[in-house]
Amino acid sequence: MGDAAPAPITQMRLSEAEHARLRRQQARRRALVGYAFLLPNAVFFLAFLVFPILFLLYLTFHNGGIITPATFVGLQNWQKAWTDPLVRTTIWNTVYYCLLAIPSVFVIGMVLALCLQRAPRGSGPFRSLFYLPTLTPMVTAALIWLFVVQRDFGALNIMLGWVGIPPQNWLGNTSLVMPTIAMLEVWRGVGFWTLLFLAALLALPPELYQAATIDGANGWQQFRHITLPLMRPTFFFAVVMATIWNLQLFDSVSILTDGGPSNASATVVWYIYKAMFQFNDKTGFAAALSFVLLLFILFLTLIEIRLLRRRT
Amino acid sequence: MSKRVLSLADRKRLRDEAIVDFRHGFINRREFLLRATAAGVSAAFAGKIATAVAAPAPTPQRSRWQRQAEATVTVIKGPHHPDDARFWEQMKADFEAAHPDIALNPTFFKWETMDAELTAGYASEPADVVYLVDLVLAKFVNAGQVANITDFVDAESFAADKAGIAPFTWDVTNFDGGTYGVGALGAAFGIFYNEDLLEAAGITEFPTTREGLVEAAKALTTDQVWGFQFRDSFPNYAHWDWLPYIHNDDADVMTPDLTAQNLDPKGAAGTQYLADMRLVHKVAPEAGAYDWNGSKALFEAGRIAILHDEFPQAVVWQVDKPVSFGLGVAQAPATTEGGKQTTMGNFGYATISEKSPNKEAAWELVKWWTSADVINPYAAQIGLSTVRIDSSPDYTSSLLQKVQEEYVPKVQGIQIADNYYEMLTNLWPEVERAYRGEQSGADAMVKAGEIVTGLLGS
Repeated sequence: MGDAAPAPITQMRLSEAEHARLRRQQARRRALVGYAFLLPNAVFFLAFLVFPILFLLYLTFHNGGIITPATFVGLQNWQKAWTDPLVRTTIWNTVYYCLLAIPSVFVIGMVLALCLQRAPRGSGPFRSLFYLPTLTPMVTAALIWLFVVQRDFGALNIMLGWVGIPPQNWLGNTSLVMPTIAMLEVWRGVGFWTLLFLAALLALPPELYQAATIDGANGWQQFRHITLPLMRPTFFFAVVMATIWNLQLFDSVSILTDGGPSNASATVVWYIYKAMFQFNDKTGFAAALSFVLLLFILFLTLIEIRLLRRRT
Repeated sequence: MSKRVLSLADRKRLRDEAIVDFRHGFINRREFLLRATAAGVSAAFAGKIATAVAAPAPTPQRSRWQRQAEATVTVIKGPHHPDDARFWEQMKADFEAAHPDIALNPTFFKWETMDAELTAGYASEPADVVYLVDLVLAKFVNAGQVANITDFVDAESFAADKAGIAPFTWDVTNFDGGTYGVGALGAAFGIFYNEDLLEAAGITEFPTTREGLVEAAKALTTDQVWGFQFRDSFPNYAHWDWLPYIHNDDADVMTPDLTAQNLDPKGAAGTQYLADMRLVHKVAPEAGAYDWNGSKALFEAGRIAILHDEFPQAVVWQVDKPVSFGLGVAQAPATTEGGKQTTMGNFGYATISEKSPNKEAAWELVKWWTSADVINPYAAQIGLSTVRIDSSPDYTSSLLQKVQEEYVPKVQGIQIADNYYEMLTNLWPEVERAYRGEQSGADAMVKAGEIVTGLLGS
């Protein structure tokens, strides 16, 4: 500290410049504190996300690199990712699955959420019941569905039999296999989306509905002109997240069909897994395919954000 | 630092402005807590990282009461039986009693995730001894992950055991003149049939030709019973049921020298024959109607008369959960009378990891485990075949005994090539399309041949 005694503090008045400097200093210190808090998470973020992504990008330009030394092959893996016909099949299957599963799970989830919202009391057990499939491990869920869709004594075929429809070959038919997997995923996911939509519905201001009722709006009009517009932020989140999650479909396909029959249920992540771990020396191709999926998800998500934000 | 007495108004103003003035000893309490926590967390975290980076690799601490082994050998394999871990506990005790200076650590991978687990293992610290099935052997040998054990295998002390193991296994494990594994276990695949149903249909001997099998299956098929069934989906290992039919026509995925495809045109007849069983003769359920477990359940219930399956299942159907009817085993039929009848089988090999620091000790385990005195009783326990030609396991199932003695010598296994699994994966949809009637067997083999050609040397 300096030798000169500072002026009595009661007489201290900061100049504008000094005040601004101190504010900047304070802002800088606060930012540093924030970064310090972020540091532990940043380490994990860098170690387990950024570094693997960069390593994956490195692998896309090489052959091997995991159990064999990496050899540079330029754009060969990227070229194969665009020309391999199975890649196109898996992308189409994945998109087809998303088109089946996402709208279905949203419609069913919304209907269930509206029912639960209107239930005067006793909806608690139903909420738990709807959420139960989401908590079920994928392997267990898949095994349950193997019985549900079994040809001779499966619940689905028995119910179809009641209305005179012959038994269907759910997992063995190339046309039915993807809808069947979508059914399983809808069954597993509907509880989550129901609770999300219910939470959003319960947060809507009741005065708007009271005013609409006074103005003579019926239930559908209230739903159409109040509920849906107010729930747009929730739908925005739901659409983006559901797209990201569903484009990564793997576990149910791996357990139920392993991509069959005749590649009719082969998805992009299924192919990445096969190429990465089961095929010989296809690490770079699998890495390139992973990046294709990443870019595809990014592209779709940006489109969704743009479309939904504009309407919001 | 000079200190001054501040008025209450000054204190309040400085606190409210949230300006930290160290000269006057002022620090906002919230600021102080924030900084202290941030500094503490960061320091602790940095300390942990620094410790982790700087610390030497931990050395395993033994109990002072534990017997001091000079080396620990870790072995990894897939479970061959629900009680496999228990069997290995006994083998561990036996091995350690015979080798007091080596501790044995048996571990298991899951068959479903075998490739991923082995890849991850080889990429880091693999087990000393790895049980590799023939489907993946070439991939890991050519990746440099498997040790060349030629010197061990060619040693005088191993000569008797080497002579007692089937010669074909030494061909399989030979890469560029070096030996990379010792044959241990295997499974053969073929046909089970319900003797009671055959007898009721007036069939006294199991047919040995394709035409005879069609006639038998037709005679056996009723409203309640399917005459014949075979696997058709890849995750159910359907290729094991398809390969003997094309092997019997001298076809295979590749030519014997592995330089060209060998499916088109030789594989067409066998593929079409199996497709016709479903589509033309209608003696088998439509493709995809039943998975492997479903077919087994129908066979146990007497609703399938002739079933392609894996021969170790004989232990279940004869000993563990005996079926209520007479059970027989057979090979896939020859194309014509007196033609070739092969049996499909795949085998597993005890290998030593290139990265193993205990290769000598690992070899002691390989030598001990594959010896007739150890592998035969173990094979009998788990119901698998062995590759020993000097002795045979004493199976509880008479059918498995028959398989070991009559069919295993006729096994034509898979071809050992880097891309073999990828070839099978990629060509299988074409075979499936033939089974569904979406294309002929000949067309399927043309496309399958192109797929194999595309993968040769890639």
